[in-house]
Formats: sequence, structure tokens, C-alpha cells
Amino acid sequence: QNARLGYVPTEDHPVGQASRHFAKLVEEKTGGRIKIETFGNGVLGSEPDMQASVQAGFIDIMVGPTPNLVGVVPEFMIYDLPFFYKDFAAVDAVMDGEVGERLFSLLKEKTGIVGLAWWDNGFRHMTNAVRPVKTVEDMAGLNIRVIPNPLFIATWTALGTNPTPLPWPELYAALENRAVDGQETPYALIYTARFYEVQKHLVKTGHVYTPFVLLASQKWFGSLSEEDKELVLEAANESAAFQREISRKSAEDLEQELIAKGFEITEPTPEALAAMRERVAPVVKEYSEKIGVDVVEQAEAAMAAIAAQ
Amino acid sequence: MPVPLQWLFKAFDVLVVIFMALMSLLVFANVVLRYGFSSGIAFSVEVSRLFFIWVIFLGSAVALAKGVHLSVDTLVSRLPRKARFACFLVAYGLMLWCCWLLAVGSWSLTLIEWGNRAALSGLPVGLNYAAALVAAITMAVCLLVGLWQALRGSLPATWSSTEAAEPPLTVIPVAPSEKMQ
Amino acid sequence: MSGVVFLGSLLGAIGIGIPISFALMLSAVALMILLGNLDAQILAQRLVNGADSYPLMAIPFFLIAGELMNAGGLSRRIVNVALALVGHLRGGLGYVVIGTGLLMASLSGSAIADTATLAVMLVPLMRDAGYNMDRATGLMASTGIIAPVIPPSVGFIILGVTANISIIGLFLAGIVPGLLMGVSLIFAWWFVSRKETAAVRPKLPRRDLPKAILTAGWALLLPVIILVGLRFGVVTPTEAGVVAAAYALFVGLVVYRELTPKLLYEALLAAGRMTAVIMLLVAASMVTGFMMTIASLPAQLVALLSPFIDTPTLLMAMIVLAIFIIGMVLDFAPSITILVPILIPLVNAAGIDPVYFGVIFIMTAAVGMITPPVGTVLNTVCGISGTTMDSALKGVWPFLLAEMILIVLLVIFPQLVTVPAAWLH
Ligand code: NA
Ligand code: NA
Repeated sequence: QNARLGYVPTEDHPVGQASRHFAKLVEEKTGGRIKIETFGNGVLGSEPDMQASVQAGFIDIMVGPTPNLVGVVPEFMIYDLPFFYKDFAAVDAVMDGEVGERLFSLLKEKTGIVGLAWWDNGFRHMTNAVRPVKTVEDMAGLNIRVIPNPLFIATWTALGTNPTPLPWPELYAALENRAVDGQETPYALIYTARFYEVQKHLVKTGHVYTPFVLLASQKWFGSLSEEDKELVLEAANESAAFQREISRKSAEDLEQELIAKGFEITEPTPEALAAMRERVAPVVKEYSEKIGVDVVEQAEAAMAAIAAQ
Repeated sequence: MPVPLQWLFKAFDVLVVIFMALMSLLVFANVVLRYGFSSGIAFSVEVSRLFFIWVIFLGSAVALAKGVHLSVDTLVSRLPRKARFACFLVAYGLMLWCCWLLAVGSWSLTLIEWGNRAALSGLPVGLNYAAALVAAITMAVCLLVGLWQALRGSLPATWSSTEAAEPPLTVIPVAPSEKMQ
Repeated sequence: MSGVVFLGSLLGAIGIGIPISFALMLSAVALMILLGNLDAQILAQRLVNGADSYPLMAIPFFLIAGELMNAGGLSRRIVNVALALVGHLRGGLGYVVIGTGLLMASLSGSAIADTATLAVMLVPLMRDAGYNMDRATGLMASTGIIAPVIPPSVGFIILGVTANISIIGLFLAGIVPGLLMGVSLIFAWWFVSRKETAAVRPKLPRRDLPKAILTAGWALLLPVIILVGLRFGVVTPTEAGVVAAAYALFVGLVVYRELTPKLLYEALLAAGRMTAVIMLLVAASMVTGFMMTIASLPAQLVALLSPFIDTPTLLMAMIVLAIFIIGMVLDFAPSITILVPILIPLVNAAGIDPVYFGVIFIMTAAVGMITPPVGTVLNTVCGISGTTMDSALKGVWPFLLAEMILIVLLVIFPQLVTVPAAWLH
């Protein structure tokens, strides 16, 4: 029986491409001993459902974003902190450094799930149908859909908007009929969900970076020989480099594509971003304590080290 | 059906009605608030879905007791009495086993997810699985009662080749009288 | 091998009389055992989370709306309008059945509830007028099954969620085929009632008509609210459901003043019971669907039927035939929850418009409710009209034939569905 890998995005999404690439790498490296079959479009279930199935050993490998792991390992909220990461280099320093390792070992400890690699999901940006946004003042009073998560609600309240938690399947209709004015997701989702049909303005807030993680079940991973474990981890590492590159490249291309589809894109000045960061500072402080100040400091140190280079 | 079980199902019926009403109220209030006042009840979706799950599982338990879950008796009704009885025993045995699996699974999920709080309402996520646990236990009790009654000679409608006496699942309106036109 | 285990356990369990929702769970358990990983926790988790869906909450809301309509006296007023309009024609009560049925189909999502109401309202009138009751029973049953094709529709909601197809798209695409079902029945009824000897009702005084329309107008406003709301994106299907329920409550309580607390309780309880029965099936089929995918069954079926994937019309014809045959013994909701997860990979592979597939699927599965041996809707009318199933079958076949001819036409000319759907969307 082949190993099964599940993910929710479409097959042509960077996650889909990288999943197939990972499967190919594993098969090549192990000389065909391990074959992986990939299932996209959520046919194996929603991300929380898959997580439980990975834990139980029905699904061998899955890809999902980090917010779903917060319930079992609150430290994963480090990726939901607003205006915490300056750029991709800062994010990579945290994911590939001690913090990333620590989060995976906490996950293993609490659930048995094996973290294989950190993949890219892009920075989240805000879109709306009302007006161009350049400063935090421009955000005032907009109804923004957020994922049902207290940290996101606190962030968007601090920014002066009315955050409305809505389930993802309801979002498009809510944007279309203006039940909400805007939303905040990465480029890839904005594009694949066709938000350009119902939204006009995109502001490059890049306020949050939520990575994807490649996870394996203990049942499957534990059954491999030591040699194969090494080879799978090696393939996972190479897949991360591949996935981050195509994902970030495609985000760049998507920006042009979104403009072509009618989005007006604005970029806040460093001063405007600083003003936003200042607004959410109390939220960051409050949630840093919930995450654990040591983890946050560890992340900050990793980012400082990379910035110093 | 023994009297205590009848009371239990009466209570389930009342709960189903209350949950149906509350879940409608929550979603309706949210719609009105959103369109009328651009605000909303943050926990509305979470809590109404919890009520929905409880309606499904409590209602399913009552439906099993009353024999209204959809089933097919085309084959069974053509069999001789002894074969029908055998089918009944196998069917009830398998259903009991299914309830057992469901009870074990939902019990451990209730425990695991009890500490996991829903993001907006703060309610334990384990409450979702508790609904399945309650249903699995009550359904198992119903099945055991059914087995006991069958051993004393009265088989449920599907296996006794009699028409089910249960009326359709709908409110039957008053027929119009000619003079009302 | 996994296919044999799956089908064997599912059909075996259904065959010995196990309720279909349990049979679905048991077939998933059988696949788990085959894969050497029987896990009670996954069974419970997939079952509960299969039910935990915001879009599916539209089902209880539309069911509440339908029950409140009935209990609040709306359906009776609709009958009165139809009587005033066509009651005096030859075979006029037959047209009253079709007209009332079409209107009620646009108010409620459940065929059983609609048919029961039709029968309670019109069986006494048709019997007193001396109509052939076998034929009348057949007509009411074949009219009742229009309910799931014209929005709102529980069937479309389940299909949309299981196959990941836009529910609004399905709703809008169902309107014209649903009306065509009504037209096909009008032809069939006209044909069989040419020599009807039943008493022709006196024509009502002209001045009564506006009054009848005005009081029933409150009912006629509801489909308009639902459709306009959905079409222009003012509400999502779930919200449309709850708005419909609130509207029905308002009309029953404030306008007609017929809704008592006791009736309200009964309506909520009936809707709750129906919700439970339907949703346990849906949830159980989510477990089955998951295990089928894990066992690679859909992929095997696509590979098996790949020769037909190049000719979508032939594939659709085969699908219709399969639904028709399975619809003989399976009820409406189970045919959706069992067949759709199997068929949707095929439909996608063949490039068939999923909304078109959904409409044809629901029409054919609805016809299954009036085919022998298991025809729940026909059975419901028989219970109320006191006809036996055997004589009802003699009365139903002209209408059944008319509806099947319509489906065949829609398979040959998909434009009949897709063009109006594109225009309405
Ligand atoms: Na309908
Ligand atoms: Na049938």
C-alpha cells in the first residue's frame, strides 16, 4: 500500500506542486521502496479532520497551515503575531532555527505527529471593496472578515476595524453582498478564491505570516527503517527549498495577475507600517505572554542574528 | 418501551425543540445584526453548530427507538419467519457493535477535546463529541430492549412483515372545509 | 477486493434490514478492517465532523419553514387560489394539484412534507367529486417529487455539500427543470383525464379571486424573497433558510393568526426529527466517503469507466439509468449520499458541468420516490388516500413516464438546463 498525502488547496497551488515533488523525491531516494500518493482539493477532509487522521494513522502525511495546531500546541501562535516578521529572511530564520525545532518537538510530544518541513504560505494582505488603504486611519470602521481566532480578532480591533469571524465557505458570498467589506489572506488564496471579482483594493500589509507544515503520522514514520527515515527527512528538506521558491515566485507573479484582474494595489510607507505596528503592540505583548516569553525572545534573537549578517 | 426510556425520549424531544429554536434564533439574530447594524454575535456560528449537532444525535436516538430511520424491508419481508428472526439477530448484533465503536470513539474524543476550547465561545470542543456519546449509549440501550422484546416474541416492524404504524415525519395540516372558500 | 468488501457489506447490511445510516457506518468499518486499522476514534470523529457544517444548517431551517407554512395555514390558502383559478375546468382538480404542488415546491424543501400536505388537502375534494382515486394518488405523488427540484431543496443542499458544488448555482438551475416537470404532468394529466367523468366544479364568482390571491399572496412572497436574496447575493443559502423560517413564523403568527404554541412546538419537533434522520445519513456517508477514498475506490471506478469518459452524453445516460435502478430500492437522501461521492470523480473527469449533473441527479433520484418497490412518496399518499400500493402503481405510471421522458430529453439536450441556468445566474 502506498503512503497517502493529503492537502486542501488545489492541485496547481504551490502546495500541490510541492507535494508531488516531495513524493517524487522520496521515491527516487529510496529506490522505489516508498511510494506516496497525493490527494488534493480536501478529498481526505478538512485540515483539522486530516490532523486527527494523521494522529490515528489513517493518513500518513499531510500539509496544513499552523493555526490549526494552536489548539494542541499554543506556541504555534508565534506565527499569528501581527507585524512580527519583517521579510522572508526573518521568517526563514525562525522556521529553520531553534524555534522551528522546538515547535516540532512539542508537537511530537503532545500528539505523536512528526513535523517534516516548513513550507511557505506567504504573508497575509488585506483587501477591501470600499477605499484604497495606505495608513491605519484608512482602515477605520471597515468590516473585515477574520478567521475565527481570538488573536486575529484582537489584532483587527486594535487596527480600528470591525473584525467579523466567518467560516471560509461563507466568505465569498459575504464579500459579494457586502456583508463584510474586506478580508485578509495570502496572494495565492486571494487569487484562487477569485476575490478580484468582488474586491477592488489590496493593501500590502503583510501583517501575518502563517506557514504550511508538512506532517507525518507516527504510525507510518515510525515503521520506516532508520535509513529510510533519514532519506524522507532529506527529501522533506529539499521539498521545503523547492516549495518556498515556487510559492514566493508565484506570489510575485500573482501580484501582476491580480492587478490585471482589476485590483488596485497600494503599499504602505515604512512610517505607516510603524503606526500599525504601534497600534497592535499591546496585542503582541498580551499574546507573547500566552505563547511564552522565552519562545518569543528566541524568535526575536534569531531574526536579529540574520539581520546583523 | 419501558417507562423510564419513554420519559428519557420525551426529554430528548423537548431538548430537540429547544435547540432547534435557539439555533434558528442565533443565526437569525446574526443576520439581522449584520445587515441592520453591521455588527454580529461572534460566537453565533460556533454555538448554533453545537446545537445542530445535538439536534442530530438526540433526534437520531429517538428516531431509532421509534423505528423511523430509513431502512429497506423488501428482502426481509419475503423471508420465512425463522430466516427473518436470524436477520434480525444479525442486524441488531451489528448495530450494537457499531454503537459500541461509536461510544468508545466519542468517549475518547470527548476527553481529548474537553480541554480544547472553541475559539470564540470558549466552550469545550469535546461537547460536540459528547452528543455522539450520549446517542451511542441511548441507541445501544434501545437495541438491547429491542432484543429482549424480540426474545419474548415481538419483533420490530422491519422484521415482523407488518406495516410500520409510524405516521409520516411532518405536521399534517387541517384539511380545508368547503365553506372556508 | 476493496470494492467487493465495500459493496458486499453495504448491500448486505441494508438487505437484512439495518437502517441505511448504520449500514453506511458498517461498510466504512468493514473497509477499516480490510486495511488493518479499525479505529473507533476516526469513526466518531468523521461522523461528528461530517454533521458539523454551516452550509448543511440550511436543511433544518428550510424544514422548519416548510413545517411552519403547513401548520400556519399557508398551504390551505394556496389550494384556494388554485381552486379559484382552474377548479372549474374538466379534470380541474388535477390542475389544482399540479399548480398547488408547484407553488408549495417553491416554499418547502422536502418531498414527503409537500406530498403529505397535498394529499391531506386534495384527497377529500377529489374523492367527493368522483375522480379515479388511483390516478389522483399517482398524480399527487408525482407532483410532490417536484419539491426537491425547485428551490429551496434539501436534496440540492446535501448534493452541493458532498460534491462541493455551489448550492446557489444548483438552486437557480433547478427552477426551469422543476417547472418543466410541472408542464410534463399537465400534458400527462390532460391526456389521461380527457374522458374524466368526475363532477366539474362551479366557477367561483369573479370577485372571490382577488381576495383568495391576496391572502395567499403572503405565501407567494416567500419564494420571491428567497430567490431574489440568493440571486443577488444578499443572503447565503443558510441565511436564506433562517429568513424563510422567520418569515413563515411571522405570517402564521401575525398575519393568519393560526399558529398556536402547540403547533409551533409540533412543527419544530417534526423538523428536528427530519433533520436528525437526514443528517445522520449525511454524516454516516461522510465516514464512508472518507474510507472509500482511503481505499482508492473512486479512482478504480474512474479507471474502469474511462472508455465512456469521452462521450459525456452516454455517460450521463448511464448515470441516469444507474440512479433510476438504485432509486427503485433506495430512498432519496441515501441515493445522494451513497452515489454522489462515487460519481463526482467520473463527472469531473468527463468534463460534465457539475451543476447540470446535480440537477439531473436530483430529478432522477426524486423519481425514485414514486417507483416500486420502495417509493416513500407514493406510500405517503397511499396512507392518506387509503389506496393500496398496487393500485396506486396503476395510476402513477403515465406521470412517471412523462417525467422520465423529460429527463431523457434533458440528457440529450443539456442546453435545456444550462442555458436558463446561465441566464438566471
Ligand atoms: Na422546493
Ligand atoms: Na423507488
